[in-house]
Amino acid sequence: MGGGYRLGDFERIVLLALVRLRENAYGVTIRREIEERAGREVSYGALYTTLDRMEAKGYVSSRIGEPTQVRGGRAKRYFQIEAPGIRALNETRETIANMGGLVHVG
Amino acid sequence: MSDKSEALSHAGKRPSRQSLKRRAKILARLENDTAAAVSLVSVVTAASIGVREAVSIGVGKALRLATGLHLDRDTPPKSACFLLDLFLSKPDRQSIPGDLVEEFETSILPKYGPRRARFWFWAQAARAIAERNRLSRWMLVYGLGRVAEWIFKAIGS
Repeated sequence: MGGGYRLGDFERIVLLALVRLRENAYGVTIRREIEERAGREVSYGALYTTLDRMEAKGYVSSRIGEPTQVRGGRAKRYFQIEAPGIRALNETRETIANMGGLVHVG
Repeated sequence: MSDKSEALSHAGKRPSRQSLKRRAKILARLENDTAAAVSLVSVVTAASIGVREAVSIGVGKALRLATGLHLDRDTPPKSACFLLDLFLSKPDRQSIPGDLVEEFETSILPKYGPRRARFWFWAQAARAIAERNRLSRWMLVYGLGRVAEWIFKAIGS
């Protein structure tokens, strides 16, 4: 297990949402996925700040998509998880498992 | 003795012609006074309602003109989109307003109706600007610093 950067709670949730959404991961779908599965209300500002931070670390990459009518002619920004992101996600999961986080307490 | 009590005090006795005349006069005056009071109250009420309505319509119109806050329209508020274009950085100018417009059109508007949907859009736009614009972030930090300083001074004194 490497001694690299530890993912925060929200970063982990965002990365897991990217894993689930695959090619269809952009602002609206990521936000909806987090809201439905994690029950967390997320603002677009906070979401993009986190995604930008992880992009700077190389965990995710983004590309600009096509503009659509339903978006008022504005383009989508698609995100994709990269190998360092998957590695960080696995390391975090291992850390939690090693610390007994998967054992029910009480 | 007031006119009213004098008029009432004669009740039960056999009145003279003069007193009857006087009583009729007093009653007529009372009736006139009541009518005048009622008309005055109704005029004042109507005027106050009118002024209030005029003020609310005026304020509403001024607000709509100033902010583009047409709450009954089923399109995203143009002023909010303009502010997003103005305050967001170039990479965010496509993605964040686009996401907001898409969510507004596809889920918020059908679910909550135009009024609440437009409020939602404004709230999200304000949050996005506050969280993504550098200047507003620094202003927020500065503002919080000033509040902390004020609390510290208030506790110290």
